[in-house]
Amino acid sequence: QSNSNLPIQIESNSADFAQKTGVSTYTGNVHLTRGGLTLTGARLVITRINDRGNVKAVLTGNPAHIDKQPDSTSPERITGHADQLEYTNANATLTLRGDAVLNRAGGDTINSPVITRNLDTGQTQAQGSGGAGANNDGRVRITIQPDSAGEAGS
Amino acid sequence: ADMTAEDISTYRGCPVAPPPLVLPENGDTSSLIADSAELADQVATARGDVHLERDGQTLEAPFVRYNRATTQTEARGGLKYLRDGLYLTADKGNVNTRSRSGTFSNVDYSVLTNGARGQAGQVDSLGDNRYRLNTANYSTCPGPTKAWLLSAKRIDLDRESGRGVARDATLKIYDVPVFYTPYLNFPIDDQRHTGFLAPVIGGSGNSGFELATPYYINIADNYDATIVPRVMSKRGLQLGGQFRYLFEHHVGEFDGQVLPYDAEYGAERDLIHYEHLGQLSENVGIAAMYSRVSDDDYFDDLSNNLANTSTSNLERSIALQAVQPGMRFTLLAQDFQTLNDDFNGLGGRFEDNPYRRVPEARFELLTPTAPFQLGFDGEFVNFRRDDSVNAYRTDARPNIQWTHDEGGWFLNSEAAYRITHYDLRDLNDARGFVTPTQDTVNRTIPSFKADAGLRLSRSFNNGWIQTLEPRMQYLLVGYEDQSNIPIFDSGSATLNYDQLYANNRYTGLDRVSDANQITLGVSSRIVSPNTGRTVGEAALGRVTSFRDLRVGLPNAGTTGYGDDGSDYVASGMFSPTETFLARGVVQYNPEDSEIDRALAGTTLGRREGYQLDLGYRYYRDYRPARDVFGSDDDTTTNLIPGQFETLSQVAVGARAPITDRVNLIGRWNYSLEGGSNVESLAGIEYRPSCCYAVRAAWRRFVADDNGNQDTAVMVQFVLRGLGQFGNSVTSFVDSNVFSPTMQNDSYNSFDTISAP
Amino acid sequence: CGFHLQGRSVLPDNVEQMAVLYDNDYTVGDPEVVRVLKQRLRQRDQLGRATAPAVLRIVRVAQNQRTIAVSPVDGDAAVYQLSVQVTYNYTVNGEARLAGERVVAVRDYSVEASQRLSIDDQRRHTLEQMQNDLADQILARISQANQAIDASSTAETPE
Repeated sequence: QSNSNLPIQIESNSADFAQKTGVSTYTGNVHLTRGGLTLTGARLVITRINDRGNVKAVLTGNPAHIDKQPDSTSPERITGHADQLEYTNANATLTLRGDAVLNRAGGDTINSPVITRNLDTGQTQAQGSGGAGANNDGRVRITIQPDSAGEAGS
Repeated sequence: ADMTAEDISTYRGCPVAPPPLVLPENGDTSSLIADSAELADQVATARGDVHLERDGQTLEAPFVRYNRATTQTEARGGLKYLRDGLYLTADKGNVNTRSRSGTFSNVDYSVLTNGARGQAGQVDSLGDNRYRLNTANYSTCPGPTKAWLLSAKRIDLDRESGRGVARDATLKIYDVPVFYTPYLNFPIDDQRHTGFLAPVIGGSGNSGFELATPYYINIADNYDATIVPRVMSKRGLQLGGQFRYLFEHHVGEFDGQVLPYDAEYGAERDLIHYEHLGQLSENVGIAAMYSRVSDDDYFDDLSNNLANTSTSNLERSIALQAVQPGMRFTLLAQDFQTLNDDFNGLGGRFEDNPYRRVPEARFELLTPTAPFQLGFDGEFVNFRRDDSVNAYRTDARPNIQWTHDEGGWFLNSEAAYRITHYDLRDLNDARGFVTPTQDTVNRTIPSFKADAGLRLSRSFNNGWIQTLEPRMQYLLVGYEDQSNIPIFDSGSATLNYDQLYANNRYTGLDRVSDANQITLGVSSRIVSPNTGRTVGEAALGRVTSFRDLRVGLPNAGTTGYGDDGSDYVASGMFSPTETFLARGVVQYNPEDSEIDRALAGTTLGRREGYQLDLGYRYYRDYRPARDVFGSDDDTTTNLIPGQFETLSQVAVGARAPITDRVNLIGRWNYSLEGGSNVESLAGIEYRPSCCYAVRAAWRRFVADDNGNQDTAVMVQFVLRGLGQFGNSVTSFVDSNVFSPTMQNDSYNSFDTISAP
Repeated sequence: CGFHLQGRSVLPDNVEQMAVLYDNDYTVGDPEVVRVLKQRLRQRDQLGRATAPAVLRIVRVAQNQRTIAVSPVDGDAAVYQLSVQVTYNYTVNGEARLAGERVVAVRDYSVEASQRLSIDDQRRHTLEQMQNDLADQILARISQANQAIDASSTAETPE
């Protein structure tokens, strides 16, 4: 049962709807939840892409956080943060941009300029910004905790 | 035998370039860095200058696929891989970082522990410490063209066993194939491991060209064995073996050699040697020894080690010893095999085969008390020898000693009463200047000794200390005519400063010299402040007799004693620094006003660098003269009564490092009496590179019973990292070139003939 | 000329007794150097049991004989060289004052190679004389080490 028909709830200090452009902006302690997924940040901009309920949410913060509990769509638990989070509910893709950090179940931690993840399939891409900096800052870095190697048998 | 001065480790070659990677600090957390990565469940695929650190290993490659759960890692596009002891680059490969097993292809490797490096079609890592190099080459030399290189279908390196095994291997010297072997086992570290030791290549006048390949078997940690097959062009195949054991209270060794058919000699020849030392209980010990060779010329023909060729009889004995505080009981049975062909001695102690002691029972008591000590030395011996006078000798020497030691001065005295009884048999065979008349002889000799000495010292301002120890001893020993007692174990002792204070100037018990004499002597030592090292030593002493000495020893040559006392004995040693030592002894005979004995020796230089040893030895009339004639195998030796041989020999030894690549060693032992070379040796050690060394030595020495010289040439290649080929030149050059006082743990000095 | 009699005791001022220890897994009884050390201390009633404050442990007595000259007439051995090396530790109240200290004696003697029983007897006596000499050298070294320490300790604690 695909993810697209789960409802999205949003809380924030203030909100501003612009029917005409189909863009709504929420500012101040913003919480977006959808099933097990919770995004928190300082400012959220949602633009409607089409009239079938597909939207694109762009949440910024310093940093903005993601916390996904195991839910009906995928059993994996994910946490992370980045300067900016983009979420499109159509293909359940989350993109963390700007000093992005994503913690996968089993103790992996991914640091990268850009990380995109399909929240349903668990498919994750990390993309460096090319031009490896002095200490690999433009590069993708994955750290594996030792105990994770033991029980991550799935 | 270990190496000459600067030990060349046979297993380590030239250092390899330090790898561009670094091992992860702590082995457990691991990380992966890349330009981009895709992760799906357990598999991460990383691209672009990927750097993976995991389980103490580091891997870099343009493409890495890595399974987080199984730790199976695949890398393509040219990888670099490092783990402790091994660094390699390869086109591609896969490795399980947890089990450390994997395969790499088109590899360029370097072993960090012993500097080995090379290429391999494929490298299989078979777990933590074992790699298999397929269609590989192996060398420890730097640079494109290798001084030596081993190319083989397969090379297994096992850091656990410390051995490398090559199959279908060809050894190339500067790319020229010189040696093929289907199997080669070589050391890759310095532990005691089963496997071939370095083969020996050499040659000598006696045996022609020879090749020996010792194989060492480390059976268990308390016993091991070495098998030595040896091929000699003039003699044939010889098999040698050594087996050693070491238990908590017993240690022993068995050596054997068998030469089924010696072409030169025309018969089978063999050697057996066994030694054992042990404690049967807390205070009962056993020492056993047995040596046997098949024929008299065994060592002269088959050994180029001078200590062996100069041996004239081989001992077989077993001794039991029981001890209590102050007491010791010894039971000994002893026999000998004599190696001289035919030796026409003068009878008595001048026959070449010594008397057998079957058995000897000795009891020694000296109460551990002060100031009085009760002592008793008792001995029963059954002397036996074919066609000679034989005897049961019983000797008892009760004595009482009194000592008072105040540190700065001491007094001690001893009174003793010796009773000796001989039961003689086969009187008609008696020879050797003694013709006993009756078959039992008794001897009773009282003796009294008073010994006094001062121990003085003074210290100079910078802490140096000089000691001065004058000493005086009065000795009175009763006279009894012993000229009708045959001689079984007596001889004249070489005089030295300590011997001036001895109770008897003859060895053994068959002659107890009369004495009414006073010994005056003084010794002094200069000691450095902090290390306590003796930098200078001197001693001077003489015995003055109050009446002529009457107990003589037939055909004795120089004894160091005349009618009115002994020679003057003076000795000195001076070693201001660790790099210079001079030593001398002079024994001047006032009656004949000539020198009876003189030794002088100096050693200059340092262990690693330049060294010069000079030695002179002079012993006047030290043994009966003899004339020797006949060829190698059947020589005849006739002792000439009343004539004596004087030893006067110069010894020079030098080691000169020419550059840091070449070491020249040389030794020359020349006898001034009769003007002949006793031993001369020249050797070169050439170390052009850190990965190999060549040693060659030429040696000419007195080998046979008739003084003929034999020449031996030894060649040794040390392919560092592959072991040592060719016998060790040190087998006849002392393994260590420093004289004893300068290098505490070595007793050899360069101007000497090597020890067995 | 500055010479004075050596003191009665080789031990530090406040130490009355010293133990002499030696053990060997393969032989029985004490070597001569140990017997002489014990007798010297016994004569000055300074020989203590193993629990004494000062302990002299004879770690190793190594003896070696080598052929250093052969006769050019028949190649038989002509001169043997004996060397004895004694390695020892000296501790006072558990504190090591001399550790792994070594002392060596070397003597040559000439032989008629075939008179084996006489050679064996001379070797036995010469080795005994050498060990006797080394025992005195060890006591002298210990007394020197103690004086150095006593001197420095008195310097540290001036009255």
